[in-house]
Amino acid sequence: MTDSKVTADLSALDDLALVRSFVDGERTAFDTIVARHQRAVYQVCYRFVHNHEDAADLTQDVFVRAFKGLKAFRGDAKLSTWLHRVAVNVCLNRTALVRPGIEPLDPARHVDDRSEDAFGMVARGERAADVRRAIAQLPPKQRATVMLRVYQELSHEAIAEILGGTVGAAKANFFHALGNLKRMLES
Amino acid sequence: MTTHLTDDERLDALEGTVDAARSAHLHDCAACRREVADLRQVWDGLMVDARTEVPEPPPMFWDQLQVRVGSAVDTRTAAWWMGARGWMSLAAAAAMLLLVVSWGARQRTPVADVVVSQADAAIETEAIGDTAQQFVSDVLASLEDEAVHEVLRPATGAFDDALATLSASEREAFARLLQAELTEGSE
Ligand SMILES: [Zn+2]
Repeated sequence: MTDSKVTADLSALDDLALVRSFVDGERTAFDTIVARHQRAVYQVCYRFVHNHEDAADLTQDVFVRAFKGLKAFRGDAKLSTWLHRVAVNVCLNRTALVRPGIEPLDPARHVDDRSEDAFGMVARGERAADVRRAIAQLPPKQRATVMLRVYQELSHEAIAEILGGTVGAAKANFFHALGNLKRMLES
Repeated sequence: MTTHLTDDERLDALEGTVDAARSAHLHDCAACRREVADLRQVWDGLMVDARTEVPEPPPMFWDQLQVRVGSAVDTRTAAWWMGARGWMSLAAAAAMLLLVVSWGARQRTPVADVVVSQADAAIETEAIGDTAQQFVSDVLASLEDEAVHEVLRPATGAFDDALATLSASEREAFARLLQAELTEGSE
């Protein structure tokens, strides 16, 4: 069978079948998994670091971690959910050590810019940049909580599970983070 | 007038999950409404940034990422395999040392050991610092793998003791065996 035929056959498989194929020794099945999920993983990573270079490095790390961990993947959750979890863990580990290098925000990139004048876009861009700078100043656990709650839209239960501790502690962390952000953004 | 909302309840109010009784308090209490409004202002600022689309990387990026991930996992797999081979070679060398030592011990008579004077023992100890031990020390020092170091470090004393029981020719024979095994293992 030719390589292109193998690739075409693998592309037809669903995620679970791809994982099984990979675990059974079909190395190219992993390439298909990467091709299928790399955009979603990159977007998760970008939310943590806000710049392309670091997001690309993190995405690579996520898939290297996945390569080693896929044998333990049982299919209880969707592969996309599992990869999201791996990505969050990799990003938390890496960004706990290094504060994000913040690229200037391009206001024209905003997803919802209906009926907004140029001044409004610039003002909003500046405001978002202020918010990022403030988040970067938060203590690591509060920063992680904000990243997971706001940027990854995870529930407090999921955050407690990832960061360890109770749901109450996760909520308290988030509450204190909001209070700190308020003070920083006002000053 | 019921008690003011706790931090936890203020967060619930912000996220729309506060229960009916506390919601009624919020409706009647200007102070609590102000607290929640402050939180909402911060939340809205975060949302401005969170809703910003992740910028699309250059078109070639996705193909490059797949290549990068592929190289990274293949390099790691190769590194692990080389490390494992090196470790297996050392294990084989250690096994050979035991064979040589046990063979050497059988060749000696207990009487010979007893009659060695204190002065002779000192000379014997100094003689251990010959090419064989130097070679073993060099090999250990050159190992970069921390794990292998940790495994071998406790054994170095045993190596010294074992080498002390060998004659010069036995030590040279061991050095040759170790050299041959390591050379083969690194190919
Ligand atoms: Zn109140």
